[in-house]
Amino acid sequence: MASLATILLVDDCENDITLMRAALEQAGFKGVLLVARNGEEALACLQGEFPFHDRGSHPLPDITLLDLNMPKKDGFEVLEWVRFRPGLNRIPMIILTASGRLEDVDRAYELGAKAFLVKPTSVHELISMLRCFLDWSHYNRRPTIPETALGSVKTEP
Amino acid sequence: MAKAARGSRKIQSKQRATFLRTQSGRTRMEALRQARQNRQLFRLANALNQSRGSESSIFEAALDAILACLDAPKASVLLLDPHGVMRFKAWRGLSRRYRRAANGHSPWAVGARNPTPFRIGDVSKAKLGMEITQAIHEEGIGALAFIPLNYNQKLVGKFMVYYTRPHRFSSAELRLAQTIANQLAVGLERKRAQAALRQVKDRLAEQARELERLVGQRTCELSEANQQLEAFVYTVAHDLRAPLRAMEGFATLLVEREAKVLSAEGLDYARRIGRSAQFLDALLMDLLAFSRVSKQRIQLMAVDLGATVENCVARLENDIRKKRGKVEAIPPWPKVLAHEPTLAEAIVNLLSNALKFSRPDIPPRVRLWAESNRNLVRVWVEDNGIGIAPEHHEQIFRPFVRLESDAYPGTGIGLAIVKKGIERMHGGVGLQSIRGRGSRFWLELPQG
Repeated sequence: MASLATILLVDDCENDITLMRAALEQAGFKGVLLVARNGEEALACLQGEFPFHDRGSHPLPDITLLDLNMPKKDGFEVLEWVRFRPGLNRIPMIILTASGRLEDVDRAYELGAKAFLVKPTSVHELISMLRCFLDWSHYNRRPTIPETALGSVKTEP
Repeated sequence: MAKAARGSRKIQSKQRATFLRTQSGRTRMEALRQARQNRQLFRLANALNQSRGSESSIFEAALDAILACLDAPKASVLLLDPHGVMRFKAWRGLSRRYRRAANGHSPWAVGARNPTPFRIGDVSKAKLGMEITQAIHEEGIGALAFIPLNYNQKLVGKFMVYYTRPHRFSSAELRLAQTIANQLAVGLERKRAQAALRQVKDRLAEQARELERLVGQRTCELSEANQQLEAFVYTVAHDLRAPLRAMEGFATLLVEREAKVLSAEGLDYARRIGRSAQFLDALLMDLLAFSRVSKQRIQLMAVDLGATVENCVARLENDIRKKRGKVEAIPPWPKVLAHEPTLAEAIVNLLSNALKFSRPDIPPRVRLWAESNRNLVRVWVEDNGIGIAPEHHEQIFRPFVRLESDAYPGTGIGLAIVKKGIERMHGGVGLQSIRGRGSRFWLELPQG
């Protein structure tokens, strides 16, 4: 049984959110999946602001899966904001985005991202990817996930 | 008598003294004149030698010299204009009216070779045109001489000297005038040559500036186009793949989670959607790879072929095992001048093709070796696969050309990437192949 209780998924793409929900289920995730559809919602969720103010239904996430290219506040802005927030900056920020442009990868790591994953086209690959770090977090209640534990980091122009 | 004689001696000595006095006076005057002439000639020579002086400074020096040397009150310089008409360029003591009347008059024909000075010692006795005679009269000119300005034995202009009274031009005077005229002509030509040279230099500098501007503009346009291409590539990678992910994902979910409620046909359709989405994704990835190899910065250095080949084989270990194939890399491996990642990408592509296009039930055997020929190194990748018919040897290097059926999956970009990458490293590619027996691909690069 995976020990991750709460995952915050920050993504503006409805299809990807639905697929992620299915893939997490398939990968054996039994916890709570919180969804924020842009950077601003992500900040609200992390701070416990409305509509995420009820920590019962919206607990603080154990990990955040963060898209980069989003309306309102993008992923980089979220990283910047979280970086020096005590308490919140212990939550591992995992980038999960469509393209692994080298400059984006570098910038994300500079801003404190713990890993950079490129969304695979194949849902099977996504499931394997998720299973890998759910398994991994089984051994680490508070994961500070090393980059190599999350499978291959793909880069492309 | 003695007294008379004494007186006569006295007169004689007085006469002699007068004579001597006038002699010495004349001599002194002569000497002064000579000094003045010399000074003016010296100034002329100086003006002619000064490369920075203007044309008019030469004219003025020449006029000063001629006035001093010939003791004349008026003088002028005229040059032939492009239409062969004599035009006043500089003058002393001439009215505007006279200059207008005398413009264009010349005793020599326009193309005259080596013309000589021409003098009119007494204008009242000369036969000239009515108009010019009147102008000369009104100007108070009694005598005049035309000194040709010759350059390379060709008439380029003239030098005029005028006297208010009839004047007998001595040959010494004319020689002196001609000497000044010759110097003036040479100086003028030099000035013109300098001006022409300056003009050419200016034009060259102007053209260089223009060229620089154009290069800057083109570079700007190019980098703009490059940026657009990069943005396009990013769009392909990012935006086009998002709907693809959805197609593939939902088709997979249909197959895996909704199989119970789908008919066999429905299931088949969903699988087809999934496969097509995956293929389109592969195409997009290959397109990205091709664009990357086309535009990435390539820096050539000596590359150890042996290590690169070993890495490439290692990268394909999975494929080799799956196909029960055997890959043999045969030393020696020389060094080549290449960009290692691009070279490795090319070798991996050739290797994976060699493994992929095997004959049914015949496990692939692939051999790699290198050949040095003068300054070139040729790397061979030989397989025992299905081979390629000669008529297709050209086209297979073009992007998205696929010769084989779906039995051999692929997008048809691999060899295009090989060719583009090798050519960007100033190398070449080619193949030998017999249909049904196998293929031998080669790539050639400069020795490292």
